[in-house]
Amino acid sequence: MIDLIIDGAQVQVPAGTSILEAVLRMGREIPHFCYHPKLAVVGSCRMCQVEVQGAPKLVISCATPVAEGMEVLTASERATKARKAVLEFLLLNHPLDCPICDKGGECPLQDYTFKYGPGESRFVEEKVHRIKHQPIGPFVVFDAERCILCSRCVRFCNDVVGTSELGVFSRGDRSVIGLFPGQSLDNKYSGNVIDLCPVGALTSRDYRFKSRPWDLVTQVPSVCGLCSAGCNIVVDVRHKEQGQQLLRIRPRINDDVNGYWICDDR
Amino acid sequence: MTEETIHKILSRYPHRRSALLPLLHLCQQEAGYLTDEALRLLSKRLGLSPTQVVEVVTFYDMFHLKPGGQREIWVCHNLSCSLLGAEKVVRRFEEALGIGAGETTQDGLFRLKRVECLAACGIAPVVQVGAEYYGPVSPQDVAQFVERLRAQSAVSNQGSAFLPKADG
Amino acid sequence: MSEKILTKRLENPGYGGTIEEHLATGGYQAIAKALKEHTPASLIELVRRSGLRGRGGAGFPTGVKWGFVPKDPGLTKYLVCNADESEPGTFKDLDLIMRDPHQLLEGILLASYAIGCQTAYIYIRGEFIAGATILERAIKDAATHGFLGKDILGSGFSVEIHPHRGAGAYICGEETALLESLEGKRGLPRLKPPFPATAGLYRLPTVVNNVETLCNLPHIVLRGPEWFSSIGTPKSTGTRIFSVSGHVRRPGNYELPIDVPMRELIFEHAGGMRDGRRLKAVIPGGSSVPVLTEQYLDTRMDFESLAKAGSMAGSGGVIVMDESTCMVRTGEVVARFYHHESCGQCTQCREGTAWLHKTLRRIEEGRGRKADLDLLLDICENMKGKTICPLSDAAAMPIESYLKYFGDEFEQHIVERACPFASTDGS
Repeated sequence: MIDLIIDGAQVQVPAGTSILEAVLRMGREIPHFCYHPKLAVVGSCRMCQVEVQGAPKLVISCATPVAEGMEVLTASERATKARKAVLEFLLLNHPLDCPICDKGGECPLQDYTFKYGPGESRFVEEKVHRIKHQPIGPFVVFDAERCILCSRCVRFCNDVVGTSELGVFSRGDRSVIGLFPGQSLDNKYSGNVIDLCPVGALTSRDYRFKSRPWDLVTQVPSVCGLCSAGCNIVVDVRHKEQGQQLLRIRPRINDDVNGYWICDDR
Repeated sequence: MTEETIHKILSRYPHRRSALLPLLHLCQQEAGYLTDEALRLLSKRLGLSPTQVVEVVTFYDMFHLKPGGQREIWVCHNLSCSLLGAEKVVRRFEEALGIGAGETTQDGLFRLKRVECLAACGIAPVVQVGAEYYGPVSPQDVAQFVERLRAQSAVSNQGSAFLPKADG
Repeated sequence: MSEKILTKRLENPGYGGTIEEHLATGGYQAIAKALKEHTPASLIELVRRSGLRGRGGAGFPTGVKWGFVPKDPGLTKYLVCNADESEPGTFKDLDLIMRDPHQLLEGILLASYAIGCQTAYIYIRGEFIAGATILERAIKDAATHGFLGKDILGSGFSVEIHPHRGAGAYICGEETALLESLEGKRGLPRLKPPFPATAGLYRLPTVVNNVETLCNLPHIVLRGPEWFSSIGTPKSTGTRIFSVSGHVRRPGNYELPIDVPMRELIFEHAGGMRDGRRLKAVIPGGSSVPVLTEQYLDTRMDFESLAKAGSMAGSGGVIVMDESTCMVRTGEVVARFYHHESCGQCTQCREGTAWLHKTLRRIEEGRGRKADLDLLLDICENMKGKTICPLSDAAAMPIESYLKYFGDEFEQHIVERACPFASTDGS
């Protein structure tokens, strides 16, 4: 076990734990986009930077293991400025279509911007326009303008499913998620990329424009009955005048059964 | 691209994926660009998904997914060249070829490309065609330069090889 | 005139770089000597004592880098020669590879022997087609003469060298991006640690050395580390090939003691300024480094002196600009380059390089706002030291320096709503 200090609090975690995981274990938040507990760490969104006493530069907490006696400041002036800057950079070309975005209301980019981001934009250039609402598979719609290139969806298809339909094409600010011409995202687990996407770039074809997340008043923990695997799920229900309406099924984390994922069967 | 060539390239690396760039270069040399068929073939040979091949292809400036000119004229517009008149050189090329940078001539002979540093700044402004570097290229030289390239293409087109002739 | 080392053979205009000519001028004697007189460990020690530092940009001591490679003989190790020369203003590989490829091959042999590598790759930039062809030929000739392949010179040491062409991406000059590219992937720099010395190509111990660095090795082995370290300063030893371009009379490669004063390099060797114009600015180490002005002309070109002056020795690419140069336009061209070349994985670099470019273009076109100057500085601040690799810093540092020394020029563009320079580049 490693002893360290995070924001003044004494913490003990197993060796090999990252700073980010240590903070999450404390029940606290470090904003992040590309990190996901079940995907390889790429450290590219740079959102989770924190200050470690004695280190000349900020470190990304997702890829920095804890060390004995380490002192971490998650909200130092430097870390706060860097975080705000990453959000500003991400928002430069992000469209302002949140009012009609299915992710709105449960969007990490939106929530982090509200909590940590700049209140106004200093960007006076024209935003880059890209392809919008393009169906890329039986369940998934892609909006390239909203994508922040965290690559979670790509890593999921590469490392978890092993089908590698999605990739990052081109480079720099021309980078865009894409598929081989004529191919579609139709592996058995494709719907998971909707849950993985931290913005509204990958949304559900079924659920599209059906509801605002805050209108899903009942989130019912359940177990999928379509096969014997018994994947743990959450059933999102909306109450309407004429009764209840089941709108969405999402995976419920259970490492002993389905981990973070469910299949596309219905 | 013969089976023998593929084997020779694969034998250089302990992991077959490393052969991707060399094989892409070969495919492009043969067809002038990377056809969907070539991409599918490489993905099978190297154990990659077709998307993974396109990811790599689109990352690098030299690969093309669409047919372009038989020969590419690269005009460097980076700092050392720009200090010595590269923008004028680009413009003269556009005039002499009747196209904008990034475009291909109607007859399919030339694609004009603005490129970043070609690592030959000692002879700036630099133009590269095939393996050959030319410089310093002054704006006044460009019309004649294009004429010479056209004359060369007329000769090389009598043969069947696509390969750009590197002699300047 | 000081002594040339790496380019001595090239002083003879008739030297064609064939293996016969190379052998007739002392070629492949260093590897013979090393195989006879040195263990890998003593060769590493020799290079460490010479003080040789990497010539690619970072200036890391070569012997120390080699020393990080695990000694376990059961582990496969790789040497990769970085011939992806792409830092704007740098063009020494053109001479070193085209005109004397065997010097480089011998350097690769020595480095491979030192770290225990049996397969070496030369990652050469894709556009340098002629260089790749020359290397293929030179490798064949070296093998025919018994300097490459199995049991070299009866020593039991075996190594193969393969050239590998890139395909047009500046970022592949960054060593971990280069390794990704060599593995057949997009050239995305890796998170470090682990460093290549322990987990490099195919996650095995790997050394990546620059062409010029490797070309120094035969000479260090033949003439000894003390001779080498007697050139230059205690911390920056040997000669360096400076690639001088821009508004000078004689642009070209000049091999000089690494601590040559900038004034001597520009005004004696490169012939001084063209057209009787006055020097305005010098970028001393490739387009990534901060600019310096006339007042720094007496600065020496070694790593420490340039750092003290507020810039960097970088890649040795020296870009000289005269008084007719618009520094806003220079900023636009430099920013455009990094915008084009960012790999795109880190947020600050992907978005910041584009933002810098667009803002500078707008100012150059006469549509700048007063607030843009502070904005540019803050974008730079937000880009520096916060990404996986230094490309983001490389894009930000030059712009900061242009604003520092030529801020009035930026303001003039904004106030006059136009570029005040009679353009030298036709823009």
